[in-house]
Amino acid sequence: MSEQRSVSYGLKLPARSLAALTGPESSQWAVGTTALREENEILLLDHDPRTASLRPIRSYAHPEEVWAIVPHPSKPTQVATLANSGGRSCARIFTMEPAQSALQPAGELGTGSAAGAPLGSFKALRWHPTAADQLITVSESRLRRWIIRDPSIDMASDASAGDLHQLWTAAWDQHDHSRLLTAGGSNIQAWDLRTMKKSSEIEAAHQMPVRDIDFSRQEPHRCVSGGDDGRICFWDLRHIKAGQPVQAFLAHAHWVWQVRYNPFSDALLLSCSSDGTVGLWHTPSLAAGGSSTPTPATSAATTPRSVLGRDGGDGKVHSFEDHEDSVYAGAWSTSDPTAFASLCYDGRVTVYSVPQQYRSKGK
Amino acid sequence: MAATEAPTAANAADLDEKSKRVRSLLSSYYGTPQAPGSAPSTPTSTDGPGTPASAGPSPAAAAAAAPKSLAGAPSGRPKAMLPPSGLPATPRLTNIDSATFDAERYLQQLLKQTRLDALLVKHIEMSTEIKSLDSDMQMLVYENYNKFISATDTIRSMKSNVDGMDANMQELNTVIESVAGRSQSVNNKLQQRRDHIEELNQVRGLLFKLQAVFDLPRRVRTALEQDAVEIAVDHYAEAAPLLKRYGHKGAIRRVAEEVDALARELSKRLKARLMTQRDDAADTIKLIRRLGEPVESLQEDFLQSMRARLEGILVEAHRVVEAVAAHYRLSPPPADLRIKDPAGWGFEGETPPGLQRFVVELDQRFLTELAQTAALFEELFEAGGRKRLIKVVKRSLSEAAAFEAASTAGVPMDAAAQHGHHGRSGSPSLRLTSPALQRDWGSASLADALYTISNDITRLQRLLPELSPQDRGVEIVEGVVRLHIGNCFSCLERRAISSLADVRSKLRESAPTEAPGSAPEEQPKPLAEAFTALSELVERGAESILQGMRVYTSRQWVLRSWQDVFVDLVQGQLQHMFLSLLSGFLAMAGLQQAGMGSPSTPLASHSSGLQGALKSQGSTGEGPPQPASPSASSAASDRQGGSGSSEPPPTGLVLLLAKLCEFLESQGVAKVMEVLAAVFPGQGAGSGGEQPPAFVAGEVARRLRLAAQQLLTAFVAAHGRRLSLAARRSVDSPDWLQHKEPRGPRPVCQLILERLSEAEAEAGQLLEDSGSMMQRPSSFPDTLSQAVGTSQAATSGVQSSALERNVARLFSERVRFSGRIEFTRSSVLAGVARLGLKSMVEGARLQTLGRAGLQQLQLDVHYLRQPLSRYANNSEGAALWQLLDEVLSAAMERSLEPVLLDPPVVERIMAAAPPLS
Repeated sequence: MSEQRSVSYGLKLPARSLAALTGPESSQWAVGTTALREENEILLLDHDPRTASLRPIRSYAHPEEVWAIVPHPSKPTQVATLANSGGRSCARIFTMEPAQSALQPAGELGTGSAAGAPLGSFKALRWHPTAADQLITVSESRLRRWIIRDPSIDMASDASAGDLHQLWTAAWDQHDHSRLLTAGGSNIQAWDLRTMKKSSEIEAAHQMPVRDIDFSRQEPHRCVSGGDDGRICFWDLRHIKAGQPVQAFLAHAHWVWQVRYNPFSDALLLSCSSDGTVGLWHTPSLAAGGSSTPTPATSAATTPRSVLGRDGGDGKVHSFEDHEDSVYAGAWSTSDPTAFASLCYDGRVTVYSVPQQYRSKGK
Repeated sequence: MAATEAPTAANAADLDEKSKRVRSLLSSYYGTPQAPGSAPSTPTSTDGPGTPASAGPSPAAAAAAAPKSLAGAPSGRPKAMLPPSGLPATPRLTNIDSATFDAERYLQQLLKQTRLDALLVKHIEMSTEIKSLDSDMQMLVYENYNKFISATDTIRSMKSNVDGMDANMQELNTVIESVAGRSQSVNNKLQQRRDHIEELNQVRGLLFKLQAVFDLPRRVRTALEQDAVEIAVDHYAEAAPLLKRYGHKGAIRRVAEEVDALARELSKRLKARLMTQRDDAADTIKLIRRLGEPVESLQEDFLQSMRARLEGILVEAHRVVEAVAAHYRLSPPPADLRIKDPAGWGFEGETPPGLQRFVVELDQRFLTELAQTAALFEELFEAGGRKRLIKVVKRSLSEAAAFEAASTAGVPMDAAAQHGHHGRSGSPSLRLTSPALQRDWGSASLADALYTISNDITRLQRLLPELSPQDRGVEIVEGVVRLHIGNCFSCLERRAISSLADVRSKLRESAPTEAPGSAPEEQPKPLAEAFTALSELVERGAESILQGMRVYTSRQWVLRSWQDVFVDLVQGQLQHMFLSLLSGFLAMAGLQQAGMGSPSTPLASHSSGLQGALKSQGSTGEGPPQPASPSASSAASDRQGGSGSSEPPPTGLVLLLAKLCEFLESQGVAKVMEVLAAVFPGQGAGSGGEQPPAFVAGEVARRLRLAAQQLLTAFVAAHGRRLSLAARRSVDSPDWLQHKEPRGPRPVCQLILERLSEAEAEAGQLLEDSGSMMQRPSSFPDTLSQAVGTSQAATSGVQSSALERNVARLFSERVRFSGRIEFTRSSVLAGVARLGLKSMVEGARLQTLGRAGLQQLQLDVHYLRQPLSRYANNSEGAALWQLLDEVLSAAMERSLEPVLLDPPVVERIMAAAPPLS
């Protein structure tokens, strides 16, 4: 435990949104506060592993409470935010100029040609992995695709998942850009973005609503999901017809809010839960493609011993328990493969580093 | 003297000349060329000196002499007259009748030897003799003259005739020659025909023989049809060399094939006979040998037949075992329940034989058969195939041993299991009858049976020493004991699992009919009953099995050589039973199936690996034998089916399992350890020194503890999920911004409480209260006022609420979710409630509320506060209240207008609110 170095920074306001910023050499994260009746801000934090310091670089005032920050994948200064203002939900794009303390608006979704139509409350926004001017949003039961045409942002297409599904989040396939996964209820839907149709659906992927989905950066077809049943499930999208995950872990005592692959290695994951803990997962055999059949006999699940670190086997290798409240967000650094940040509702951002023995070699 | 000598000489010469003259006369007469000319001259010249007296009779004498010499006439007379003179030296020369008569020497001899008077007498005698001879001769001539003439004539005519015949003879000769030539040619011509005929004749003979060959199949077949096997074999044996030689060509081939087929059939039939009629086996073997089968394959067949018969006995015995099983209604009666000789197997009417009786009967049949066959084999094949015999005997013996082991171990086990069966089907309630467990699990009767078996096996020692029957006996005993132990434990395990399955189905059935709001006191308590029954079953079952093992330890011969192994074995089986019960529990709870991050999976894989190892080791006797439990696998598949159908297991069952694990850990293991120590004092555990004991109580307890915790967590999680759903419904559904003024707590709060009381109903059956629930009223006002104070503070300082919340949290204990849940009702219920309330907090944090919405939630929280404290103890209750506070503070944070109702207002509204149904 002694080598589990962590460094924290406390915000004054409750916060739910955390995102790693792409581009800079050092590890940087953006945190958005979520206070209904306060002045909200987006704070940029910089982590220096040598001095083990986490310090704010800049802060930008944000007019409404920030529910999500989505940095642009290729433009380092551009972010999209989902915000809530008195019950009205809006999705906007900003430019963060280093010299200025205010965000420069770069457009708002739904104000262009389709202005006036009720858009519902935005739950998630995802940039196209490569095309700089495309994004999708998820709101209630609708999946929408947008194209940025300066100065406005136009809705390109609009699809419904069905009235019964409340879509909560979405994940864009990092390898096949025409595929997108959404979480709606306890199910996971796969969409073909060329036709904007549901291509398949995993029924009852979790026993309770699915909170988060993340695609592997390394391997196509591989993804992970976390849900309110406290589980995280590993999926191989080639075999989703069976409806059985490749592997599933009872990860947390309460809802799993986020689960994230390390961008540099599939064998490392983090999970954030409202039980106030952050889980670090080491899954070398899953990453190597092992355990492809979801049979209980072969699943190398965890004994309590292995939950706390067993070499070789897949499982939770560490549980970071120093948050006081629900942990809603976690994000790996985009530049340091061994660092990740987690955000607690009380506004505390903590950056952890992966213990030495689980760091992947050669990457 | 000279004078006398002269005349004798002259006489002799005269005689000689006379005979010569006679001869020449005759020859001149007959015209023979034989010295006709010279003879007449000489006598004249020599005649001169002779006396005139002697001239006269000389021709007569000569004539008389001549016929004598010519005819070879009787000369005996004169000779006989001479012996007195006695001339042994030259008898012939002196014999007057001899052809070589030497008159000179005769005369000299006469002169020398004879006196003068005698000589004169002799002279006179001679003269008279000569005269008589002359006259005789003359007479003869006269008498035979005609005959001479006619003879001469005849000869002359014959001569002329013969001359004429010559030509004829020549002619005849040629004729005969030609005849001979003709005859030769005819003969030649006929020769070919004759050869042909000869050939045909041979062919005919061959055909006769072949006919026999061609008839062979028919004859053999006929013989076969009449079942005259010996005759058939005779036929075949006769023809076999021929067929062997010519069988490959022409028409014979077909015959040969046919005959071969027949021979095969024959030998098949013979072999069949070998199988069925053992008494004739020797003859049959001989017959088969005549059919040309090699000895090895014969031996093989013989042994095969022997094996078949032995197997037959085993099959028969197997039927008996099945019948026994059926009798005890363990298994459905087999369809073909045909026991040839029920009485022989000890059936009395419908009652199956006792184990002892059965074993004796089986041994007698099997071993007698074996011994007889072995003896017969010796007799038939002598020393040749002994090795093979031994091999086969060994094999069938080990088969028999395995069977005996299985059946003997199975019978008492079945009997024991049968009680359980009755217990299940007999009483509709789940109260499992325990009397069955008082028995010693059949150890005693088994031990008796084993004694019989090992003794009987030893009887084979004399006949087949190579098999070392003694060792075999020991092996069987060991195997049976192993099997029995395994069966006992697996049977117990099976009973536990199957009664759990009953509980499960009962819970499933009752779930829909259960009225959601009915008072828990009125409900029957299936869980409590099941727990009592099951815990008793497992504990006392294990105990009684161990007690049953005393039977073995008390009989020295059973464990002669493997006492320590035995103890380890029992302990290992015990451990195995605990662990597999454990994995069975987890599988039932659905924890294994889903493969969630739980200890169940490694445990299960461990035990299944163990089972696999056991399977492979079962025969070698290295490890504990695999308990033959087909129903265990079916139970496993049942589990799979139960939990695979996405229907989660009833929460009550999960709790029951958790409680069972906890019970086993806290009491079962200790109890078992006690019994172990009592049954095997100072043995096994720890006695090996280097090796860990087979039953590691600490490890088993550890795993049980883990499983208990896990099952309990699963129980809490399951109820927590239900509660979460209710809680989410309470905060998600309404439109909080347009909410109306609250007039009382919403009905959804009642739903939350119902969910909780469901959990309480289940937990109340199995878990202790730890007695502190009663203190509730006195201990809570403190926290209540504190909580109210918190909300008042929140009400007063709207702007600083976040700060205050953080400060307040500093002083309150943090609510932990991953904490250990105790086996008490309040701990469990608090765990459930915690999950639900936390979900409510999370739900509230996602909302944006108006003032009315906030106040509605305030009322709801207030409504929940009091009932919730029912479910929890001091510290846990405080945690729940803290969570309720968090709900409220979350609502306030998410409220556009954070104005709470004053406490008196709350009380008023609550009092006025219509009661929730």
